[in-house]
Amino acid sequence: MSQYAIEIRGLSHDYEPLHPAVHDVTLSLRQGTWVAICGQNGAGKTTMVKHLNGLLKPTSGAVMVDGLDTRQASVAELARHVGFVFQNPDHQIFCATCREEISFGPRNLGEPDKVIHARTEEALAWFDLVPYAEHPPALLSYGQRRLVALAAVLAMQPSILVLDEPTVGLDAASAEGLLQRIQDIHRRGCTIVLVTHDIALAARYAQEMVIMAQGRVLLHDRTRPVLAQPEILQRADLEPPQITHLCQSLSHLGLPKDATTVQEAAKAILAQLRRLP
Amino acid sequence: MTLSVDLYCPGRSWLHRLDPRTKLVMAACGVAMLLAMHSVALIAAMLVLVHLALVSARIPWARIKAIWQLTAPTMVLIVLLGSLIGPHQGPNLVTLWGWGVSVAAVANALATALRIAALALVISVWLFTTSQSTLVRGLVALGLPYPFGLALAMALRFIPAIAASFHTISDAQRARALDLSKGGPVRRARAYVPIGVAVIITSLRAAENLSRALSARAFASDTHHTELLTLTFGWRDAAITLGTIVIATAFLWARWALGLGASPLGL
Repeated sequence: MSQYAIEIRGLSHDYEPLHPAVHDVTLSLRQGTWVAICGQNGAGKTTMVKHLNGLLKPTSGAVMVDGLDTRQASVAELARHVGFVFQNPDHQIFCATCREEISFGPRNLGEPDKVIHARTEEALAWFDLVPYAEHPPALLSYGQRRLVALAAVLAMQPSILVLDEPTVGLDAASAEGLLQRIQDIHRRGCTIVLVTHDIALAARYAQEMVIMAQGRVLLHDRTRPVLAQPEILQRADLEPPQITHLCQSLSHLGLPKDATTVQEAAKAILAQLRRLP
Repeated sequence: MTLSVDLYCPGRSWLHRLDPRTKLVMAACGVAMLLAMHSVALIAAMLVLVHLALVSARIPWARIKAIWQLTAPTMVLIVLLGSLIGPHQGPNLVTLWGWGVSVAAVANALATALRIAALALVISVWLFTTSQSTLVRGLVALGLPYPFGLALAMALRFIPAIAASFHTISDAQRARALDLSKGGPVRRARAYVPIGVAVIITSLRAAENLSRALSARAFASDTHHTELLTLTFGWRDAAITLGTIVIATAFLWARWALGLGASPLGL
């Protein structure tokens, strides 16, 4: 089996002739990595990731997911491998209870009742949704609806999880809670593809970053080397996290250009202060 | 994917510049005349006139073709069935397996089929050259209560949004392994239930938010309000409206008094 969960070769996609939303993208993402796809609105992030579960088919090029060619496989087949959490949870929710909502995906995969029950209960417990198991999901708060949408996708046990702007509309505490859960899922070996325009969020969690602008990949590398190249971020109309920006501005004093957390920056500043005579 | 139900083709032709009420009168008179006509020749003449109007308004040929494509299956069905089961009067045009197809039946079916296309095109002249906001404003000016006009305008405005929402929700459910292409018609129809329910929930939520946003912006149906879009019924509109009403009245009188256009084969 390939070491890559996702292999994209020369992918282009046109919604309209001669106006490619994604243009000649080549990318290989290793299994078990947390990758952030960053770029401004219209950069082609969502168009690109919609190829991962076959919702879009390439105009040219190819996308391989867990060794499956997405041009040949159906969306239903690919759903076994790729879980896709949409930006708006309301686009997913329709059942009368959270329990039914979460079991919908495994049922579509044709899993036995025993497996469906076990996965549903595990997902409910994992996301603290047991008290709401018999509640209509449409009547829960926005943050809880997001958790239901995520739980419903995870109950399908995909090896790759694609999250399209998962923290939009959430307060800081809810966003943090959600990301902690995604981190737990990542620790279990799941490949995470996080689509976001929030580079600070990506810097905190992602191991690798893909910077996109105008349908093209400008850079794909580990998170720190990406953050250390502000000129590339600027080309994608992205700003590095404030703490990274501060350290880059003071790099002539010996601060690292790729610091991503306040703690890291404080440690570097203290080290420099100790060196003072 | 482009999703739009707005038939309006922007432009500045003489038809675009007419008051929406004038165009409504033209469409209504055209419909009344077509419903009274049975003559293939007269309906064909009306079709030529409507096409001339559309061409003079610079409506793209693709839009006109789309109307023909939309009506074509019904027209073909009417001609086929109408010819076979129509009135057995006069000479036969052809005999199929002992079943006589009369000239009158074919002409009658042809007149009905052409009338459908002509009706669709007459109404298209109005819709192709009138923006949704002007159309609704015109209806309000003709006496439609303002809240109904606003509701109609918003309904028209949100049809593309709901269509886009349907598309996104289909993607979201397909991503959860919902297969919309498997099985017979009943199974396929049932597969659309999760999408339909989610669309309804999303639409209700949007409607609730919209009503709150309207209230927050001081909307109340019983208060006096000013208009952003003012309509001008000029001398050109008055002349065309009067001319259209006179022609339509004269035709309807000739139709009932003199039998003009009453026979599919005659004038």
